[in-house]
Amino acid sequence: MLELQNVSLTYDPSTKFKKEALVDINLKIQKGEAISIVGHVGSGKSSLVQLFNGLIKPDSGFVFLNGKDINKREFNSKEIVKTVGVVFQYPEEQFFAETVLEEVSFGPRNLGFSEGEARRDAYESLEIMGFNADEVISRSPFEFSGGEKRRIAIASIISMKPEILVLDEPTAGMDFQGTKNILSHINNELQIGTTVVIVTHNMDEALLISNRIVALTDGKIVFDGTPEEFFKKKEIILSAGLDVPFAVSFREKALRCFDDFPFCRNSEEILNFVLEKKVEKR
Amino acid sequence: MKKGSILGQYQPTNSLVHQLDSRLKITLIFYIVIILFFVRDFNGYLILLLFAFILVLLSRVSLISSFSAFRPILFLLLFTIFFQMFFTPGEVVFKLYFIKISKEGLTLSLYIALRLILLSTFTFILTSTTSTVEIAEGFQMLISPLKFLKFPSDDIALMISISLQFVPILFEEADRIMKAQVSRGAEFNKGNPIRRARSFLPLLLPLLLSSFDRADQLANAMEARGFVVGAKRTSYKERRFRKLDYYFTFIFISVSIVALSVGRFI
Repeated sequence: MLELQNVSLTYDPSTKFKKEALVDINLKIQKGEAISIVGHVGSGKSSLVQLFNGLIKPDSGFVFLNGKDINKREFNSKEIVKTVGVVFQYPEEQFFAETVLEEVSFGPRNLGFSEGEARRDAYESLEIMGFNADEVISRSPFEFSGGEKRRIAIASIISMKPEILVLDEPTAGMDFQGTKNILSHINNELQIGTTVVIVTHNMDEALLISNRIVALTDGKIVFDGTPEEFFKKKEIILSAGLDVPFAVSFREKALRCFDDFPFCRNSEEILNFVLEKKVEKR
Repeated sequence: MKKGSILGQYQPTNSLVHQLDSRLKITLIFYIVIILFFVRDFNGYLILLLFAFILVLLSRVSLISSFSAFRPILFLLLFTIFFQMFFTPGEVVFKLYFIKISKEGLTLSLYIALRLILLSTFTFILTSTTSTVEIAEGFQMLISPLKFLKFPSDDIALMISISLQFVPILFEEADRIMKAQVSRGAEFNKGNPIRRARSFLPLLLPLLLSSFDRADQLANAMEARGFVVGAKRTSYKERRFRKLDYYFTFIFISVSIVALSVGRFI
């Protein structure tokens, strides 16, 4: 679906500020995957996702979307935007419209959807993000709480019905409840078959949402595989400046008592296993 | 991070020009602006041009970026040359129907072009070898004697300092918002002028809002650390002129005097 071949990117080349942001990246994203791109600050995560929809062009290498090179002139930029929806960090800072409807339907209208289609898609995306669309559409997007604003901003990308939804640190600066809310609504998108790519350095989040982890260090991919495999590689986790999620560290300790302790993604799964064991024991 | 650097952006190479006192560099820029209007001979301009080129080499900044210093003034340069060349009366050297080019027009347009080039080169040297903080500090120290006339020089200098430091941040912010809106299918360079102007609303409004927000946060953070408008503050940096500054001043003034004298006395 989306493929990066030998992609390299350097900021400020031929100056003293030269920085190699990405080095020889090879990555394939298939339909329906839930991928977490993890790495420390400055590892190249955000640069990588900006390549996905052609916002920045690589210095070398290719980005293919459904087999076509997106950086070729003949490639329609609207097609990229429609297929790959990128939600930037703090997306609520892009608000400009008077009403939520206007804000959320901005994308579909830009893509040439009719007024009715844009309205319908705005409604649907607001519902996916947990709003009662009828209640919120005529309100100003600026009057909502931080968490709600973030969900409206994500809805404004979902309304374009992208096949790949890319979220750059979607829960940055959010409280526990806000994070939980956003992750659960992103999960809704996964359920309807959208490919989801999340950029994060929160390992609990990565473990919870993804079935594949891509780790970056200094612009290079140092790991690409399942979360189970990733969390066995302590040296990579440490070198990438990341943390082991609670569920993984709990399991490591619990294995001393239960040999069959399964790989869990969150505390709920751990609790279920412990309760099952207790029932068995009785 | 932006791909590519901003024009005239500070380039920390720690060259001799970088080490000069910022007050001196600012003063000499003002000085050269005045001098440029009094140079009367082509050779005088050539001397200054050569001197500017030597300074660029001495400052060890990227030569490509120094040439690109002319890009923003290119239109102004061509516009001025065009008007001076065709509309200055005098001895006609070229005539085609109603188009006349006079000798005086040619000379004047050449002088104006050289003045503009020199002006942008010297300004480029100042901004690429002096950080915004140093420029603000230098400016603050230069206007500090005005305090005796009840002029709020410290506050003005602080305002300039903060504004200068916000420029690159605003550039990055604009870049970020622009990319975010492009991701929602926005197009900024298509359609007629009215449509283009309207298409900038999704960029300008969030930028304006975030600027107010930043300014508000900064004001709160400053007040939280005891900042009071008009209150007396000390400075943790004390600058003194060094030998290098005196030598440079001597060379700079000498070159400018030679440039002024050519065509008058030499």
